[in-house]
Amino acid sequence: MGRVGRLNALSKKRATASPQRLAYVQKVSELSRRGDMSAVADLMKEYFSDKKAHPWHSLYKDIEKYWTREYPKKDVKETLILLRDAVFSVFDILSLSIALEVPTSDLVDIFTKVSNWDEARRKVRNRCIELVEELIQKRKTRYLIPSALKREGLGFLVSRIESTELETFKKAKPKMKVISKKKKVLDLTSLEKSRIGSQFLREQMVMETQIDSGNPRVSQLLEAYDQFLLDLEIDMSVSIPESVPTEQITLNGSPIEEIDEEKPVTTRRVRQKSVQPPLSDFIEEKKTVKKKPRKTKVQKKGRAKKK
Amino acid sequence: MSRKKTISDLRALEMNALKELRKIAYNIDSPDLGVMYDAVGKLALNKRNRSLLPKATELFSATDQNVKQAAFTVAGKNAFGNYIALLITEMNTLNPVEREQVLQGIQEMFSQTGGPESKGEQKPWIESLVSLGKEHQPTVFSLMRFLGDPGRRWVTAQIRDNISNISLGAIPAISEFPGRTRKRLVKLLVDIASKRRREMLPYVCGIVDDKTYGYLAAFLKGSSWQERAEIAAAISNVGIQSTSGIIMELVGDSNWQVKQALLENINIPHSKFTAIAKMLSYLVKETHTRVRGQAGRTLLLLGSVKCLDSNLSEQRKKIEKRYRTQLLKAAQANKDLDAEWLGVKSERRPNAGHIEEGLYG
Repeated sequence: MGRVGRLNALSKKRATASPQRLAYVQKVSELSRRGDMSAVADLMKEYFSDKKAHPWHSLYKDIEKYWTREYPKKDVKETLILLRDAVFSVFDILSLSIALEVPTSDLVDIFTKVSNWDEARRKVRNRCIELVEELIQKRKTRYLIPSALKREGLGFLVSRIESTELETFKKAKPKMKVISKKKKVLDLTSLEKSRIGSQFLREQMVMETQIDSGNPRVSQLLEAYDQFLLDLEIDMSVSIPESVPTEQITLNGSPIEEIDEEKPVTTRRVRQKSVQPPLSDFIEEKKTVKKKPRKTKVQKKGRAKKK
Repeated sequence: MSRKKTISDLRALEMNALKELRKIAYNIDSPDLGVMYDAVGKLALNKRNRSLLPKATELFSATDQNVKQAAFTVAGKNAFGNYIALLITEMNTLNPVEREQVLQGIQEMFSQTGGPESKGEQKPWIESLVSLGKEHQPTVFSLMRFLGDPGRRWVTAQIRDNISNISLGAIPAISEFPGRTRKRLVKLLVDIASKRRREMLPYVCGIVDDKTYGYLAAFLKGSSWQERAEIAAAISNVGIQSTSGIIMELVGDSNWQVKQALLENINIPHSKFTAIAKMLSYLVKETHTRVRGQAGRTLLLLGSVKCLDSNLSEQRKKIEKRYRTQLLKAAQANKDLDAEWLGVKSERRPNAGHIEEGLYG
């Protein structure tokens, strides 16, 4: 009896002991799924005080080693994306998650090799800025989102991205391409690949990537292209003086203004209340209208008193 | 052997998963509307698309209404931290119906995954949600359930300080809170509504259950008989589980309609036999014929419907012993109920409705 009991206890222990290897991974991905990034940030900060309880340094190694054993039927991809979301969100670079083809483990490595949170945040963000600059140099700016970059405190990159995109658009000027002796087409593929180009094509309602040279739309399109380019260049020169608003961001990534914004929020609510009185008020209103339909001034006074 | 069990190319796997998301982001900007709509559809359906949140916020100002709506829905399901305030302020560009849809998307997401548990996320949600117009109050109330203590505290403060502005549609949302919180909120709501907004009573009656109906006693003070009848109906709908306080007060009410409401539609399966029996012992002696008749009918029902804490044979034995005369009368008056267990055969068969019709016609 005793021996069997002990064996059972052992096997139970083994069964419960193994899934705990990835318990931390599961915890982080569950928080990420809930959108609880502030909780993930707390977990990451605690890494510096207790590495054993918050094993960020071995997170990806653990997945490699134990995933198939502990979750033989579950696809690891979802967890990887959840972790990516969490890490990029916490470092306030979520918009770069799509743009940069950098594995999250690289960023986690940077973060776990330094000694405090502020340094980690700075180094990770610097690494990402480097990568973005590489992308700008290579003119691969399609996935970079200026509005989001501004929000994430990377607004200084925006003007360069915009000028690069303009340049790409200029270079993508549609050209005639000879397909055979008789056939020439206007090639739009490079235009479609640039973001401004796509925008232009959508405005022109052009869905195909090449147009026959005989088509009357060719000259129209080329004219429109020149016009569009001119507009853009004027826009750029106008918008440069009033470009990026300097938004101060704390180390946690929340804009400093936000604390001051609290009060206007409540006043806005109060205002909406007065716009929408409760149902019972409507009934009262109708009554007063019926009673005194002639004198509007008196009616107003009466209502004010009632309130 | 052990090699097979490890995953060696996590980085490649991650990049592979990212590729799908990148493709969606790319195609959203495509000049081909078919491709674009396809991408927007994928954006809305894809489950793990928080990475596309910045892209979605960029589409808030899209001219295409469908794209815009999809962008807001996606953003609602993925927002966190600073994005929450952005989302809610940008929602002002939508019309109220569209806003409500976005909010319901958020609610759906919360009920699937659970709300955020850290205060750092709960607070920005609450701060932003309360800035919405009153037309969204019901949904905002039910969203608060997922926002932990701060959410509960906000609802409590609304009830306590702002009851005149709570729309009637928001009351059912209060009953969605879990366990003890719900009990506390219902009590607070009843207490305050009974003093300041008595017209809420029918809606409050709609959310009480066997643990909270006792709170309705707050409404009895200075009430009209219509209000008391409303309360009585609500309680008998929930089921009578004790004969303390409010129920005995209703049994002894001066108005017969109140007692009638207490007996009509009584939820026997969720009541305790002892409680009903005690209540009936007073009501079978009632002076008003209708109430007495209703009490007899309820007695007869106890012979064929099981209560919460006893069984049929027990119930039959007990009521037959004490109320045989009333039961026989009731069997005569209520041909639609089964009375065969009394050992008497009704003179007319229950399904001989046409004879009765003939009598009245």
